[in-house]
Amino acid sequence: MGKKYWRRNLIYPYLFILPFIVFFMVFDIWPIFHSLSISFLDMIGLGKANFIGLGNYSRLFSDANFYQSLRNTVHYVIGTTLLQIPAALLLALVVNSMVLKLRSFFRTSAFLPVITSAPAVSIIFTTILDYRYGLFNMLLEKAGLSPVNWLQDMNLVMWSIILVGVWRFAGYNMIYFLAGLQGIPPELYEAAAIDGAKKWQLFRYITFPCLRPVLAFVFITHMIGALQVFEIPYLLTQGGPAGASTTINLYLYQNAFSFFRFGYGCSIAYLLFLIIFIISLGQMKFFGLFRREVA
Amino acid sequence: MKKWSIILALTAILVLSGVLIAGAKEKITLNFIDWSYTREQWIRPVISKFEKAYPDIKINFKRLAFAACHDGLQTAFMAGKGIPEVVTQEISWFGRFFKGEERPFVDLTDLLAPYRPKLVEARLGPYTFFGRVWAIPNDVHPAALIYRRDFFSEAGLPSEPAEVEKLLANWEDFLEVGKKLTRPDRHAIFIPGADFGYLMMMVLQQGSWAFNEKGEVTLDNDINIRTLQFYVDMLNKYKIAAPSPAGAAFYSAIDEGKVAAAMGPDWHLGYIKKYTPKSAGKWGAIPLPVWPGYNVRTATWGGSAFAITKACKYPEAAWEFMKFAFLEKENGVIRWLAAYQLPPLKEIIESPGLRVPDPYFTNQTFGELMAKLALEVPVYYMSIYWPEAATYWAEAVGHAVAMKKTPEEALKEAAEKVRKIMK
Repeated sequence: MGKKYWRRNLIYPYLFILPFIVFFMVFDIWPIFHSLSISFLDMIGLGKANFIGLGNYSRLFSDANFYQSLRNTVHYVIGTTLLQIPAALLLALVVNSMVLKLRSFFRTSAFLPVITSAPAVSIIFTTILDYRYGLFNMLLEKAGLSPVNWLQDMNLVMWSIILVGVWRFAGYNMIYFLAGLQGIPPELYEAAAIDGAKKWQLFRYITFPCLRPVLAFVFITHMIGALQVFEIPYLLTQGGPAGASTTINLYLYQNAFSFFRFGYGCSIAYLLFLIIFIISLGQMKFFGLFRREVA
Repeated sequence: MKKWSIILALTAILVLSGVLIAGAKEKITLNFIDWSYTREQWIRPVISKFEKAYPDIKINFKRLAFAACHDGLQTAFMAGKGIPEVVTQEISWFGRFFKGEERPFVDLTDLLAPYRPKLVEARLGPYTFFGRVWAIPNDVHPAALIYRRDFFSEAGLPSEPAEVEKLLANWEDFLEVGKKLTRPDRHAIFIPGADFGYLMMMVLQQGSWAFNEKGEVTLDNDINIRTLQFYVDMLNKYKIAAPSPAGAAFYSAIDEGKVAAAMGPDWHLGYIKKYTPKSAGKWGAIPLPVWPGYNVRTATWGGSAFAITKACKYPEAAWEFMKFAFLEKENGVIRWLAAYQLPPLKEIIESPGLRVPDPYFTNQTFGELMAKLALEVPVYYMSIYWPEAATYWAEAVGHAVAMKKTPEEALKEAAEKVRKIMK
């Protein structure tokens, strides 16, 4: 084989992907392993850090504030999963409907919250959810109900964060469902319609099963994102009141940056990684992604 | 011949340029970061004056977002690169840099020594670690109580500051007067439902805080517990106070007369003045009510300071700038007028420039009141564990106000969490 063959088939392809490999190694792979090593150190403030083995991890298991952040995160995950995914599917079904006029407008509108900056979203929702002047309480009072302290009531604040999360990201998952819906062969619906299938039966026996791979992807990616929620509680409530909306990622940030305890912060990051890894594996098994397809 | 003349002339020019460039003095550039828009308004003219007086020094001032100024500096210290020479840091965020073995700032104790008699000594406490001073404070931030004169008159109470000061001599008096001012659509005052800022001012008046001068945790001492109980009672038992709304809603509510009074340091009252134009001309201002057994009429909350980083290659030049900008009398009155922030220089505080009628406060000389109170601000000592204490203190207030825990339970839990971290 000549030099031309080597260059074309073995060298040039790697040269083209080399910039990505370098960036990936420097900004992704190296920090992942470096932060793992930091999690075994007593890195507090500036200066020398001592090796303490699993000291940070054992402290984590007796940290009441960590458990509170874990409970808040689980609350957020369950709340958004139950609300956001059905909402995204419903939106996709609506904007995919041939009956709907101005479909492009509605598709864009549903996706707009995704691309709106987080600080802008938090300013708007701080006003909408305000106890005295907020739109929500104004509507409640018009309906003859008492106003609700959406952001300052410890029992309600996580629901407010969930509400903002659902509003913000339903459009994102809608796109995946929409792509899935458009990939379903229309002949299936025609054949079922000829057999007399009703709308609900069409959804139950054609749409839903055909969307299974998309559903698996949406569930898994949603879970990974929800477990790492940070910007909404950080901007809207700063984790308050009294830690009632502090999530794991926010607690990690607090320890690493506000308290300048990088070793402990890294241990929280790795524990979160482990939780996400185990849950994702479980989800993949549940959706049968490890099953071998038989021809 | 002509060709050789041109070559000789060009060579002479090149040699001369080289000599001039080599002989020219290198200009010192100092990068200075800050986050405050109001501070930028008075600091830029001061920088221009300094650069004229010191033509070899250039100050490269950059206003960054708050997080970039604080977290960004932290990252720069850890990376050892991109560290600015002069920095402004908020009071709560300064101490964390002293948690490790390294001291990333220049020790200013000896440099500040000749100026200490001119400074409000109490303000050096928050920037003193391990017995050394590491920053020049930007401010004093004395706290006062402001009240709606019209609401007091409506309730049949005196409304002139001298009389109201006697009426609200102590916090028990405030409670009783608050009951007369409170009605279904109005409270006496807003106080945070899950933050410690106002509570901090109340305990500082009694010589208490989160830490004592030895650095021991005092969050759960008797004064703090008793004061938190009073705070919770104002909200829940006597209902003369309402939880502060957040953000813009706080100012809207004040402007619409939802409360008869407000309290806070100069910067906080300055924001209230700025964002409540409808109620301008209806306010009066008095010192804070005192606590039984303590005759302290003011407190403080918040602040910022200027420091030189160890990465600075020209600390002498940086110190010349710091002296010029922050320790000179002529810049002090500008700082008050621009930002409602009294610098910690006694000669500014005693300056007649502050004694001007303020239309917002019905032509009361508000600056004069704040200047008097600035000299009475109680001292307190910052700890490197303040970020943790602040977080758990806020949680304790939230739990006590929501009545999920008693003040004693909440503060003891908070104190134990901080002590555990300190071990």
